[in-house]
Amino acid sequence: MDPCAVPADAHTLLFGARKLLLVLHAAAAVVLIGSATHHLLQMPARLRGAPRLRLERIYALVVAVTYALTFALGALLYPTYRYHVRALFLDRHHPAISNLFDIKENLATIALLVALGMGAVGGRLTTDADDRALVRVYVGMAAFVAAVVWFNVVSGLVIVSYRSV
Amino acid sequence: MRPTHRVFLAFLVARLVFGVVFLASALGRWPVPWYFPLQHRWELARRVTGLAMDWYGRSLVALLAGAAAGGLAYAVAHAPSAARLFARRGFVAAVAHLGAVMRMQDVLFYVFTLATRHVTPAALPSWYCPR
Repeated sequence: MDPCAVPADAHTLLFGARKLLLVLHAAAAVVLIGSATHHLLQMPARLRGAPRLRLERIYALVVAVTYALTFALGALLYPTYRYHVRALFLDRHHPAISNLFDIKENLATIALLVALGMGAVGGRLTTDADDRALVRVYVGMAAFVAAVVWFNVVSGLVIVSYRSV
Repeated sequence: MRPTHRVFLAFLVARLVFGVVFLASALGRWPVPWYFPLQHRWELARRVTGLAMDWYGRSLVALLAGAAAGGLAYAVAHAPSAARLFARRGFVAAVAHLGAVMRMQDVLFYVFTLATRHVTPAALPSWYCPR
């Protein structure tokens, strides 16, 4: 018998699937950071008035879908992290890392609607005068989502390097 | 109003309302559903004792408020009189700028509040093994 086995009354939501959920969460984040970065790299062409509409639309859609997927997988994993990682370890030994995680989760929520909005309008704005003001808004959204995704992926790696689920 | 502008406006309104509610619910300690991960139960409260998580409830309330406002803006923008107002050059951009300001307030509030937070460690259970 494993002397360190976690008793049944300390099992959190989907405790038995925590490792699988973490791998899926990380895999979705890999696709997300790639698509968010490639999407952002389309923005200089967009600002020059020569957008690559097809690429922009594809990347924006991939960002929206993988953002929602990464967010949902993280939400499923969160109760296990909250007790077994944060409450039992990080709060005691590395409180700054606990705080870093909470910053990461709230930033993820703040950027969720922005990512979904990008998926809905990505590649659909034209070079017309009517769309010019909106293009700057769209570029701002792309930069914000990419910044949040990069921050969250890097901080996620830092947190996991201290203690994982 | 062009369909793309209507969809864009709906998302921008949703983002603005989400930003307001996400900030106000934390500042005003609104009652939100809290999740207790060890008891697997929910409780609607302003604050709780014991190990509980308000992130789900706070996020859900703000996202639902944002979705409702965005849906309403999308529907209203279909009406000719509203469409004329919304189609004015600068209207959608003004909503976007308000939303961006709100979003930055959310970011600054949560980063500052959480970065300076002092956490209290929970008592270790008898079965806990340091590793």
